[in-house]
Amino acid sequence: MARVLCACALVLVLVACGDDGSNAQPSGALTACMERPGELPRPPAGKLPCELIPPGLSLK
Amino acid sequence: MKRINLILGLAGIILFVGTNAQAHVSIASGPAFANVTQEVTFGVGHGCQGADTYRVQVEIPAGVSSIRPETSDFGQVDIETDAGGTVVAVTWTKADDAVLDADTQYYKLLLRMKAPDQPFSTLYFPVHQTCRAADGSETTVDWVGIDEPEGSMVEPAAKLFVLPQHFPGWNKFTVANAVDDLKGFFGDAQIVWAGNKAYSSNPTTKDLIAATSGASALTSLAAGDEIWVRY
Repeated sequence: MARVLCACALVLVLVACGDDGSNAQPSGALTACMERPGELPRPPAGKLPCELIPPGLSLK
Repeated sequence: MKRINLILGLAGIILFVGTNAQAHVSIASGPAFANVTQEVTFGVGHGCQGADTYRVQVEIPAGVSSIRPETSDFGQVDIETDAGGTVVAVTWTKADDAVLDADTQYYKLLLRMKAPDQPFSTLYFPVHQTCRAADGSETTVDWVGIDEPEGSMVEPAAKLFVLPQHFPGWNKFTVANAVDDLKGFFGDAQIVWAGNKAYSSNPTTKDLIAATSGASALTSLAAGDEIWVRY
């Protein structure tokens, strides 16, 4: 029983950590990194990276 | 012949001004924190017309306290105090046998001090630089100009930008005084935001600001502006 519970917990953790990119920018706005927890850090590509957007600012 | 003399004279003046402009004694340690004891470095870029710097006197502006000079690149340090015991000037002097035959060295002179609790202000430190040539003759250059107009012959005093204490990451401030010299105050910041306007001294980040939809360039700050600064 304990083994089954552990397996279920592991599956839940893996699902929670998964990132298909769909939760990156729900509104299409450029926001701070802390408002886009699913996005991986990347080099800037033609616009400011989220690391340089302050908390609470949304650029469209 | 008169015209040639005039041209030569003008060239001499330009050369003289250029030499002095390069010999700027300036703050080399970046902005200071308000109401915090810290080390401030004065950089002596050049001597005077080929002569080595022998002595540097720095006047301490009102409001600066807890002065503790360090021996730095020059051996001897002397302080001058007013009747109340407040340090009003610090002088670093080289030993006679340490003066070089030519102006070949960059010097750093250090001072531990506490800046006044006036963030977003600028402090001016008048400096008197004395040089000694190989033949023993001495020249003194006074770096005392404060907000001189363009083209002024008065050499500029060392300028220290005072900021609120900040930490790595995001910092939120309310600007106490209008700021025009963003590079002076925020040259070491990754980025500064006021609303959707941003400034960075990094040319790549500056280009990214221009390329980002919804963002525009920040060129100055007004008193009362709320800003985000990332270090």
